[in-house]
Amino acid sequence: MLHHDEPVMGTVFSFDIVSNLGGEVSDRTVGRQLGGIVAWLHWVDATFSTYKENSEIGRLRRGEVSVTQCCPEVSEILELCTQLHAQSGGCFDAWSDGSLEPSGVVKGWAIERASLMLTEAGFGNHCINGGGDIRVSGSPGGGSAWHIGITHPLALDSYCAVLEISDGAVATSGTYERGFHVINPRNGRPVTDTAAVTVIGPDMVLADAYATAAMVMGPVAVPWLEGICGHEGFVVDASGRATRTSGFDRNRLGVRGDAEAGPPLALCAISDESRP
Amino acid sequence: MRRPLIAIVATIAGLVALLGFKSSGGLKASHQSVSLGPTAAPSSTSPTSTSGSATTVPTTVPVAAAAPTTPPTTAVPANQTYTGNDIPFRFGDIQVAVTIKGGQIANISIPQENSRDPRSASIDSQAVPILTQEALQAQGVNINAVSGATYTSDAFAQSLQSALSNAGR
Repeated sequence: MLHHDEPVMGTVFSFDIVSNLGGEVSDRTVGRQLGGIVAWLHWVDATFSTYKENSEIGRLRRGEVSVTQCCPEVSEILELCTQLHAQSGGCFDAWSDGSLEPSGVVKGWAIERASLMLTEAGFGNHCINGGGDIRVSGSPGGGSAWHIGITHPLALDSYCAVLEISDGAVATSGTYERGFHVINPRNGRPVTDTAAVTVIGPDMVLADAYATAAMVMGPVAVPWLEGICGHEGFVVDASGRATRTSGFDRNRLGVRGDAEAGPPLALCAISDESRP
Repeated sequence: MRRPLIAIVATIAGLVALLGFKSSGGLKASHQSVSLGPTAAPSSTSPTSTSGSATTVPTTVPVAAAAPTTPPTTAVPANQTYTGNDIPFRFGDIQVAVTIKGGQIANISIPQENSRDPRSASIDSQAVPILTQEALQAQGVNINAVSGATYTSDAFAQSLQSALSNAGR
């Protein structure tokens, strides 16, 4: 297993890659592949950063260039933003503060692409953690699945769930120690009733966007996620109460297949009152 | 308001790139998180992987093109741990220690984390019922990565930067 941490996009990307062939040659091959991916991530950062004045997004925001004058990746991201805005009933909004802020999509998209690049290069067993957004593929070894801890939003040194996933994406949106920084685009106010939302899905972009959107939905987040095919969600509200979609526990270590023991205390299925 | 912050992050990125970046696992979930500055996404989060992960053997990776590199101007002594300043953040103070081995960051840890916000206490008591069972289940399990993180804070970045400055001195 090869591990690398790369500071990029205002956070740290961590890579765990199983080198299939073993030995030095294989590590060199992984290293070369990783070098290309890391360089690409820095390119994405430079292109999409809303902080860097000369980024394409910066120039687009100031009206100095049109979308067609930007690189094709910019149109791809803008299309994703539009699509997610419609899908989430406006809860995901890259234009919520008046100007374009696509970074909510860019990181997940970059993680998904990086995972695909590794798989195409023959390294199908890997885990990429981009600032807490995680994309796993294959196995860390011994045929077991990847184990992913979800930090408890109200007790940062504990997990509120431990997942077991061999192929898929895990995204968590939350208030955590930075305070209430997710703004509800529908009323412009900070989200205060939800502490954290974790979404599991096949794809990092959607899991990430759905987690962000669910953050602003409050009590209807779990029923909304329940209706999205192929995705599962886990929501902790500000009082520490956890709700989850019906299939979430299938990916949960120690809970899966342990129906007789019942769910942990203080965890509850969707109650009738929270249904829309 | 965000620009100075980014300058800090960029400085750290530069320093980290300069020193090479290699982290070994260990410690508790939140305590081995390595997060520099604010996340770009609206989601908070940002730990790096591995908690007590016995299966993860850190390997030196020859990464070709990393962040913007600066030629090293100061020789970095080998095998030393440098501690950053104690920086206040929302729930208390945070202090970051960086261990440098052979010019690379071998480990980043958080020796100092004091809760001083009274809200932390009430938060902790709320969290207990949810977590007891799952935390017990997580014991002895290798966690490969952590979602929904911790020290994405500016405080972490500032303390890390001062630790790296101490290392370069």
